[in-house]
Amino acid sequence: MKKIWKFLSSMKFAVALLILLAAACALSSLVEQGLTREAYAARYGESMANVLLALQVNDAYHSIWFIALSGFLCLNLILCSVIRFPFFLRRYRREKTAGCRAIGLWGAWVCHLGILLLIAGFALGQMTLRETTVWGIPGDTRRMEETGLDITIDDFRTETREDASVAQYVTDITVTDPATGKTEKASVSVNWPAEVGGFHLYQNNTGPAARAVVTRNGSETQRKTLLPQQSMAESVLGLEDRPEYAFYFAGIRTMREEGQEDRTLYLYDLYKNGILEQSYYFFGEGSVEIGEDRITFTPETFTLLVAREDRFAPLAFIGGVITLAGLAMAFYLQPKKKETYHAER
Amino acid sequence: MQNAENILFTVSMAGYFAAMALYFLFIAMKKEKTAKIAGWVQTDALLLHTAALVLRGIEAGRLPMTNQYEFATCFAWALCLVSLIFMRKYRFNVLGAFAMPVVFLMMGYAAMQSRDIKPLMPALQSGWLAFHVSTAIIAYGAFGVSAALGAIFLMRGRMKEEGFLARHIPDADRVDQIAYRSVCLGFLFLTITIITGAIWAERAWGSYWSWDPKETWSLVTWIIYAVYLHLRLRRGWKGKAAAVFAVIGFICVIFTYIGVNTFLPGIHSYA
Repeated sequence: MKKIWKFLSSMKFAVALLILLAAACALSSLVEQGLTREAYAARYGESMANVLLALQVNDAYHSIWFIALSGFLCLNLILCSVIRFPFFLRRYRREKTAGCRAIGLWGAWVCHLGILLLIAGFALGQMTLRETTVWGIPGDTRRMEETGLDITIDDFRTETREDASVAQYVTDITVTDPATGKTEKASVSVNWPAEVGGFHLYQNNTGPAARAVVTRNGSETQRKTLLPQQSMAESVLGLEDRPEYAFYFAGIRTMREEGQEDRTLYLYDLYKNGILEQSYYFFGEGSVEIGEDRITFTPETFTLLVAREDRFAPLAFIGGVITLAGLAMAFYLQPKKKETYHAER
Repeated sequence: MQNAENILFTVSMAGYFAAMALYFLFIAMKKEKTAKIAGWVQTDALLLHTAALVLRGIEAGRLPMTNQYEFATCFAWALCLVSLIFMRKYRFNVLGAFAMPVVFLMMGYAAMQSRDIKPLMPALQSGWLAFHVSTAIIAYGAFGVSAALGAIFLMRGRMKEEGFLARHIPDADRVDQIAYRSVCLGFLFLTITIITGAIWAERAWGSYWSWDPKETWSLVTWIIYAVYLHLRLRRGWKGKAAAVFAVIGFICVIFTYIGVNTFLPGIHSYA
């Protein structure tokens, strides 16, 4: 048993783990993560796809073997830090008594402690991470899952410079707590997240969308924001009073004609009882009539906000700073006279 | 102003080439004066290069560190600066013959990239950019010097002790020690690079670590040098093995910088 503990706390074991982790990271970075089985088969062939999936290389950084390697590294760090603590203390006291600058002797120990905190912060953060998304166009109100708060997108704008390059994406929101009726306004842009209900809200994505409004005899009966070529929930408009009909937002195309500016074409497919009945193409806004219902499609730009709550990110950050401090101490604050752990042992 | 920057860049690149040639001549002709001239040429080229970077920074209205061209030229600048500091500090002119080819190659790589000054995309508009990229440049420069020293160490082993070159290269232990110091500097700055990058990524992308290929390869590089330091400090691993390791580490650095952008696209596509 003693031999096992000694091995688990040894530097030989640490170096082996580091080399294995480096090799695992390097190899996993060569394989695109999170694809479907079919996608791997198309890229690497059937048998290779089977091997990749069996070895969990498709999600390498969350695989059992990667977590096990990281776990063993943590165990090694804990054991070697605990076992070596008396040695560091003894050496520090001796150097201090001799009047030497001894703080640097703690460098390696502090560095290992920092790495341990960093890995712990990252692992705990991954385990307890709460993440959700909120998307829509100005005027939309969505419930932010996990918090129960309602987010109304007041405005979304793409700020541009004189040369037409994008300077910033900005989403203005109103956060409403349905329980208390309390509202709060916030602005989210790239590099400037907002804090909402304990979550950080990040400006993540944008793209084309369409607002579909159904009217009957001039009165609005239905309204939905559609995203192109997404899931049923996001790109299909089912007519509430005519369940046999559904519109699918099939995407956009850029039309380029010589001597003219690019124009964007919006494509919508009308399905009746699940069978494609007709396709519609509009430059900008367009309408379709089905009986007394008029469906108007208006081009819009959607904004996607990602909400994340990682309560252990500060721990990882503290770990990083401690690691850095440990390295600086170990490299530049060593006493003049050096001695190694092995030499004393 | 871009014309002036282009001229300064080209002249400094020619200067680096001349310095490299002079260092080679110093080794071939065994004349100490040649090394002295090479040192002056290198210093002058570095000053011109600095002026080119300053001009670009003024014209762009930001630090010139945001695309492949700018990073490559800054990388060459840092490698040249760090090698010059080490050469002066340790009176070690032969280092120039090993560092300058890498500086020149990096300038050549920069010259092949687009030099257009483009406005920053929203994700790059952050105060963390300066910290993250400048520390990466210093780290890469220091690792470049350690690799050059590793190569010198390996070459020194095949030299006669009494020869001209042997007189101009510190003894093996000293070369080994300088290479170690260079790795320490690079490792410290690479750690700062990774930490500042994580803080910035958290603000820009919402996650401080996403296993993006650039992040992953930075970690791989960090681990490789961590292994080097462990083996060296705890196992007394010095000499040839350490020199080989320093060269391998730098190959990994180059892959992280150029290889990842070429073969493994990710969210770091601009760097």
